[in-house]
Amino acid sequence: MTDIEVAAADAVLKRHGIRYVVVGGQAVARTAATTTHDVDVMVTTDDFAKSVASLRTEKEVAADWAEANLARFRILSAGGVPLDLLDATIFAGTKTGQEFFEFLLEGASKDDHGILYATPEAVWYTRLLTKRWKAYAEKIITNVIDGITADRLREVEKIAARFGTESIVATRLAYVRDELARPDIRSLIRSS
Amino acid sequence: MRLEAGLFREPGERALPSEMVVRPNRSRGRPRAEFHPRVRSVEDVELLRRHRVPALLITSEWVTQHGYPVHFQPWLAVPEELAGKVTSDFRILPVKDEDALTAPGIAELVTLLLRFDPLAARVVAKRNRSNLDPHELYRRVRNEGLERAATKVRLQEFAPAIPKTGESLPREELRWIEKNNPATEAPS
Repeated sequence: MTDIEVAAADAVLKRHGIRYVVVGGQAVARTAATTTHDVDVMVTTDDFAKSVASLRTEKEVAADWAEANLARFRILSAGGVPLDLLDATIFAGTKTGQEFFEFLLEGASKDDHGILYATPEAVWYTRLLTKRWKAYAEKIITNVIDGITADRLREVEKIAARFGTESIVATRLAYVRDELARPDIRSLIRSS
Repeated sequence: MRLEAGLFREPGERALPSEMVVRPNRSRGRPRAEFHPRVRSVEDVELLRRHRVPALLITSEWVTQHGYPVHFQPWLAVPEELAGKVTSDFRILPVKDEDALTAPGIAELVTLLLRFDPLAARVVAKRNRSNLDPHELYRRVRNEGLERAATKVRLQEFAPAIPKTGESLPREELRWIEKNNPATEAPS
């Protein structure tokens, strides 16, 4: 079942011919239950500037703000929920954004009703690579409480190795693992 | 019904419906029968509450109504003593202070959220600040021993008396999380 917010984003993005993979909470929600209503959509590096420019002409979304690798729109047809366009370069490490995007397309996403959703480990990887990784680590912990197995953290390590970001990701993964080892968190993981 | 490391029906009290209770091993000559509740639906929880059994369902709708739009599978909050005795399809959230489950308000919601989604707890506290009693939040956090989780999401901003324990997330990161999930329904 496609969520209303993602369906609304999909309609707009397809109308503009934008190739994308859903990342963030909406992607994790395919596996775990907890999700907020914002939609994070990643597009290819080559398309980023063009996609942002194209969406600015769209009546169903309102441009909110934009940075070098991230642009926020609001989907008017879905109550104004945020739609973030992310440049894949942010996560590509020693490789190109195009390579990271192709990795998502070919090996780290699943098709659901014609929409590609990144796997939980790919989402976790992107979350741990952002500058706000500590807050996103909390979301990873909530995902594990919700039933996504912590074994997938090993897959995050593999993605980091593939893109040469192991040194950054290793300490952040250690933080997540330490938090998951807390007795109060472990008891919730067992009960869920 | 009252909680006594189990459920016991007092003389004169009506029994729970038979399909909602599991009777453990019976002891000969025992004056009262102990029951283990089986909770399969929202209605079962409501029925338990009507029988004064401290049980509370934490739902997405409840959190969303308080300004944090979210979807999650419900949690059934019950006192720790009862947690191992409840049979339920809902996820069980044991709480130390059963009093927090009797008439839950914003402080209780924030405290319960701290257990499994501290980011949501902070946003709910912030978006309902005018209705949030700082002393009540302090009391609930202390009763549940959640000072560390509260510190992580800086709940001292809403209840300054909460002792600071451990590390806090950067303010900018907390602001970002809040900004990412704007309230789409007005806080009640």
